[in-house]
Formats: sequence, C-alpha cells, structure tokens
Amino acid sequence: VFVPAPTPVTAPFWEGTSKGLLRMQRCSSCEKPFFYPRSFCPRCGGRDVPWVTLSGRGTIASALVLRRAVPTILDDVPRALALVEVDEGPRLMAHVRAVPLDDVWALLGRPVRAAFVRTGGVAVPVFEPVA
Amino acid sequence: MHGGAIAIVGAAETERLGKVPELSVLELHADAALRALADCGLGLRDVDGFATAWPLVTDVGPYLGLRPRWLDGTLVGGCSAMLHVRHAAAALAAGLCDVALVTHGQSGRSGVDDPVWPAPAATSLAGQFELPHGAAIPPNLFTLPATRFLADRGMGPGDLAEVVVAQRRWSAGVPRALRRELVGVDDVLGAPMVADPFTRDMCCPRTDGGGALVLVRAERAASMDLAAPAVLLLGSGEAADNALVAEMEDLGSFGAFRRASAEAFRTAGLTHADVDHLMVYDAFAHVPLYGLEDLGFVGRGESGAFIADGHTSPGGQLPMNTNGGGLSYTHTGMYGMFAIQEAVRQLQGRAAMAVEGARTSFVQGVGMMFGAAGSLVLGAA
Repeated sequence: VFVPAPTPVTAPFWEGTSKGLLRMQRCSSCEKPFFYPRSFCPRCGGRDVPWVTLSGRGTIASALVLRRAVPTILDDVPRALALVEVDEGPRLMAHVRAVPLDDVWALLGRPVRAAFVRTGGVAVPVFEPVA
Repeated sequence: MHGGAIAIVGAAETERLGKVPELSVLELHADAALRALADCGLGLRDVDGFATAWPLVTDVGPYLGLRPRWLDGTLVGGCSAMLHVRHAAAALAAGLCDVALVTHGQSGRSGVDDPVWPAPAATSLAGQFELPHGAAIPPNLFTLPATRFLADRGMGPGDLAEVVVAQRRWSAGVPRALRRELVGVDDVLGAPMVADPFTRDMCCPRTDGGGALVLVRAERAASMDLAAPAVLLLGSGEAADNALVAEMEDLGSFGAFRRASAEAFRTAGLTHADVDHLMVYDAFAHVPLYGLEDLGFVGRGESGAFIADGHTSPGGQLPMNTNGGGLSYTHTGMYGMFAIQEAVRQLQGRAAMAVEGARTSFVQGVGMMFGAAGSLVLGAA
C-alpha cells in the first residue's frame, strides 16, 4: 500500500480528507472547480482559488478491474479502479470499493459517494456505491 | 515545414530483438547506432548532431564517442523518437548540424544496466492521486479511459481483440516479431486477464532492443551512395496534454493525437487520402482505436468495425502496424523508434510484409499515459 505525502499546495486537500470531506479548489475568476490542487487556475490563470467542500457524490466515468498485484503498492486484487467524475465537474482517479467485480461494464455510470480509508496517517479518498 | 528537405538516409534496429541479455542498454544504443551509420556509409566521426531520450543524452553521447554541436534529450516517453526526428529536421534546416543521429535502446526485458525509471515520490502528483489507488503500472493506467471510449460507442472487448487479430496477420509474416502466431477473437479474449477488459494479448510484451536513424538535408542525401533509397520527412507534429489520466478533457479522445496529427498533415500539405501506410503506437489494444479516430482516418465510433472488416490487415485499404505493432513485434518500453523503423522499411521496399506501392506513411506515437504525442509523415524518395 502506497502512502501519499502532501505538499504545501495540496495540504488542504488532505486536511479535508482527514475530516471526511472531499474538497477541491474553485476559481473566483472563471468560477470553475479544478483538480489537482494548484496555486492558480489552470484554465484562466486566476490566482484566487479558494477551497470548497464538495458533495462527495459522483459517477463512475471509466473503470478497470485490476487483477495483478504490484509489489509495495497493490496487494489487494482483484479490485475496481475508476475515474470518478464528481457532481461538481472534475474527475479524479480512485479505488471503488464494495462493488461486484465480475462485470467491469456494469460499473460505468454508477453513482458513487466518497469514503475515506486511513493508511499511514493519511485518509485516502475512495468511492462506494450510493445505496 | 519540412517539405521533403530532410531525409532519413540510415535506419537500423539492433541485430537482435526480444531477449538480449548480453547487451547493456548502452550497448543496445551502440549496436543500433553503428548499424544505422553503416546503412548509409557514414561513421561516428561524421555525426555532429545527436538526440536520444533514455538514458540521458549526456550519458549515451559520450559512450558513442560523439562530440555533437547539436543535442536533444527530449524525454516524453514512447514518442520521444518522433519528437527527436522532428527536432533534428529543424536543426538540420537551421544549419545547427549536418548529420543527425537519433538512437533508442532499452533492456526492457533483461534489465541489463537499464536505468530504473524513477518511482514517483509520495509527494508527486502520481504519488498523491494515482498510486494510493493501486494504479502503478501502465496496464492499470494507460488503459483506464478505454472502457468509457468503448461504452460510448457501443463497442466492447471484441473490438480490442480485433486489433490483436489484425496485427497478428502482419506479424505472422515477420520473422523478427516476438508474437507471430495467428489468433482469433476468442483466443485473445480467453488469454489471462490483466485488468478487465484487457487480457494479456491486448498488452504489449517487454523486450530488449534498440534502433537508430541518421538524418541529413535532402541535397546531401542525393549525393550519397546509399544501400536503400532515402526516405523524406514530409511533415511532423508534436503535442502534450495530461500529467494524470484523470485530467483528460474527453476520456474518449486524446487531444494530443488530434493536435499533433493535424500539424503533421498541415506541414506535409497532405490529406488522409494520400496516406498508403499507417503506424499507430500500440502499447495496448485500445490505442489504435483512439488513433484511427483522433487522426481522422475514420469517424467517431467507426474504428472497431474498420479493423474488424480487415481494412488495416494485409490487403486492406489502410495497412496499419505492419510489423505487428508493439503488441506483437517488440516493445522495449519506448516503442516509437520501432514504428518509425517499420515505416522507413516500407517506403524503402525493405519490410518483411511489404505493402505494395507504399509511397507515403503516417507514423503516430504516444508518450506516457495519454501524455504526449508525436506525428511524422514520411515519403518515398
């Protein structure tokens, strides 16, 4: 299992996950949220990019069922890996837990919500199906 | 831009490909370089421009004994060689060098002195937003957008399998190819699963090998005594998009493919109808599907049927990946050099599975995980 380490610019994201919140930045100029964290908006260059708390809800845009373990990083296979599009717009990569793994195609389009897994002192955001 | 003013006069791969444990990565570069120079009657002393991606250009150049006055160490993953050719053409045109050598070598299978690709740090973007989820290797990363591409088009795993089936029809006739057995869709779908829906045969092997190219201005090429006809660079393009696959603007299309290929067509002054032969970098079976659509050879959603109907197979209207591609021929890690080598062989009439009458070849490379793209349009002299 791989433990991420925050940098100064990403620290608010990880502080959020440790409180069970999924947060991203939203540009005050073009009013669009973006991800991953930066000190500026990659769309318009605006530098006023306050953090906002998201609903934590999203949809599985794309998925794979991983079958091969990778030393030091991935031992828990099979598992679903997805690109999740959050309701507010941006996409992020995440493990999706508690879903059937026998049909990868059935995962696409499923509504999911964020959950948080503590590992090495960091809370990693994963997703699970909306009940 | 290039308009045929730049010529590839020497082209060669390492004598052996696949499993070559007796050669270090630097020796793979050297074997390829010496063979490419011999191919055009030149020697190391003639080279005054040098480009390579990996290991560093400052390690490989001195190992080859070069004292270049023009250097390019562009490292953008698998399409680095396409960018090296494009940059070398610009350097030759500007008089920054007279004989440009581009080399590639990787000990991807045996790992003999192959520099370890730096593992992403825990603080890196990948370390924070990809690796904690287990997305650590190309079969878990590069492939991730593909299910969206396929589902949006009513396509499925059979379309991935057809890519492999078509390319094996080529590699079956290529003695140097690693995977040469003809397969059917059911064979490909029945191979061991790597990451659903990708089976082993939809993923490239890892091999040892290398390749090199020698470029000069076309007027010099005309006065050289060449073993095989020079190949002219007609156009080129390059682009880059995503550091993480999650930030692809559209999971069903690769922007860098679209922009680099459009630039290559524009600079060549050619259209799709002018292309006789196509190479699309295929580390995994979904990439030629994206490639055919993003390059504009077929419309949205038509790539799967185009391949399944045999249009890219031997005898088809658009022969594609005629060495068997990265999936079947060889894949050292950064396969781009081998796609260029095959295009050059086709235009010189030296390919194992020759495409009759091939005068114009389009070569499309991809780098990283939908990160960069490099396009070349090559023409027979």
